[in-house]
Amino acid sequence: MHRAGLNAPAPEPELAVMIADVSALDAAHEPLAGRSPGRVHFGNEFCERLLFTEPQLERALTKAEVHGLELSVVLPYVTERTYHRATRLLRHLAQARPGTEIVCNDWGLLRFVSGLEALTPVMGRALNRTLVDPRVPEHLAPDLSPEALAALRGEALGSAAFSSFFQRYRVRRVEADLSPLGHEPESWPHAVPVSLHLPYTFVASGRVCLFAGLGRVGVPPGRRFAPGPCRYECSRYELELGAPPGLAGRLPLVQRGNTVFARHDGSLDALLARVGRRVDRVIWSPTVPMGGGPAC
Amino acid sequence: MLRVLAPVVHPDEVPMLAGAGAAELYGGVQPRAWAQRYSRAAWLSRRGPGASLPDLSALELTAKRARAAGLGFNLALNASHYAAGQLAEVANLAEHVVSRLGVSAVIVADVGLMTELGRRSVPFVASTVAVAHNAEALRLFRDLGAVRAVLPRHLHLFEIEAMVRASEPMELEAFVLFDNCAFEEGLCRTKHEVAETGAFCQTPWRYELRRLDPKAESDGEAARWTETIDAYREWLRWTDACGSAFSAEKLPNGACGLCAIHGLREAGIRTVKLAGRQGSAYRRLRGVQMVARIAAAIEAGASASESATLSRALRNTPELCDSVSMCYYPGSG
Repeated sequence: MHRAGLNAPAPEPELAVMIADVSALDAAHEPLAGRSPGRVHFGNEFCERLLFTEPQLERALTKAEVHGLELSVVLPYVTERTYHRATRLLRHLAQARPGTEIVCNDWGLLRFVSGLEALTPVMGRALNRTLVDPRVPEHLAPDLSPEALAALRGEALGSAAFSSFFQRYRVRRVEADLSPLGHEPESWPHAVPVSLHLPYTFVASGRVCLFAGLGRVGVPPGRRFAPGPCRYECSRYELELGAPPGLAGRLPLVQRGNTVFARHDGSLDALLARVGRRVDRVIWSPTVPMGGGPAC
Repeated sequence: MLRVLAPVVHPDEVPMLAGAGAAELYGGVQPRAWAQRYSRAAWLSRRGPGASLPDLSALELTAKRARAAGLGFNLALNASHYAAGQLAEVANLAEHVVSRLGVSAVIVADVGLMTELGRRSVPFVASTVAVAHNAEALRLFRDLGAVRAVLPRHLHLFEIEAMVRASEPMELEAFVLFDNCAFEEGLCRTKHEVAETGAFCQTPWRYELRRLDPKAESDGEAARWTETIDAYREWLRWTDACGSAFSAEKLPNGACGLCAIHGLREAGIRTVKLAGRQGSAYRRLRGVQMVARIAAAIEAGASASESATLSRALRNTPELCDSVSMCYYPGSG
């Protein structure tokens, strides 16, 4: 097996674009900082109400082909009912497009996909629980010993146990975020390649939704933000989160729907320079990655 | 038979919690060697050192006293993730506490650790921090060796029923008291207790609205957002302890699913869990008493409406119950 020397320049990572709205797929092939994306990640990672429909999936497949892009299909975490809807889409996809990468952000969907030989399971970033608290660099890290800091910066995925897990569930790739604390380079997995999301790091998500509450006027707070039907308010708004200086970190925070993201500032080139050698794909989100839904 | 699962943070609390009706206990530990190595930053479980047994000797004594009282004791090793270099250390600890110190099982969130413990045949419970929103996720945890799983916080009763119906028998735990979360705990990649900042979700954020289509402004939009954010802040306050840890009658406030216990039992849940390891001993004691009272009534044949009525009467704060702000399972009462 050929091994590049330690001093050899790392090959430039593949560039993929994250798209949740089918209509945005027509622009997905446009160059970013002089680089041409070769792949599109289509779907939503964090809200089951934003899972695409079969016609949307068909349109995404067609558009990706027209623009000469590889397609990775992205799925959110799902409750029982949506799990069954997702598995119907996956069975269809296994027949229509064997070999397609399926990015799973739910353990159940990962297990299901691992059983469909025709599809390629990818462990999404919602299953990667590495700490990315944007407050830690300013408010905790300065007081830490090197060993404690290394523990907080370390990925779990580099362990032999995770290699065994990847093998068991046929995981072919894992996704990660750029941690505000940085990464321990040796803790990246060796068994599978790594995709890195830029410029939005997912900080926190859940089924309770502040945005859904906008359309539930008059409902008591306990029910107002609870999981359930909404009017897709996240397709119309986002909220920038600010806090007194003593309470926040340096990175800007933005919430869209049920998920908060930290945004890494800087050009694609500058951010790529921070990417470790183990990352062979960058997934670039032109907007806060929370789109999708029946109207898109 | 419904079992009440309660948090313990000191060996002396065991008789008190057993007497209040707990059938099983759980807790964390912060061994001195771990604390020396990683300081207070890298926790062994999702809660910090202040909510944990102080060392392994306290852990051993707690497990021993629990056993003497006929109670199981599970140790939480449920940090969201352990760095690759820490995993063997944590697996060794898990194996040690189960084989030598009398711990019944460990509670685990990291699937790498689950994989390793399964390989070593160390019994473990899949933590709520691992996040199983569907039956197939439970099957994955069972593949890896889980003997039981804790459900996520934000599932409706009908969703739990559907999940249980779709899964082969696997014992499940559901939260019924204390410590709700704004986000799903396993999908929150922040730390509690970061210097002075506290929990990420409880930060008094200032929200600045951005319209994705700048031309689509609607009448009263800003006012609607202001009202919505105020209501959200109000809900956040209730998820914690409603601004006051106790009611006027010295009953613990905070997230509550007492009136849902009947529905949970109907759905097939047999273990009802109190969160709140970091709460005072009195708060946890009173919590166990309330949950055990409802569980006993249900086991004695109380109907859904009778157990809901009893829950309201026990709390004696009808305005709180009517607001549903404190509810773990809004819509179940």
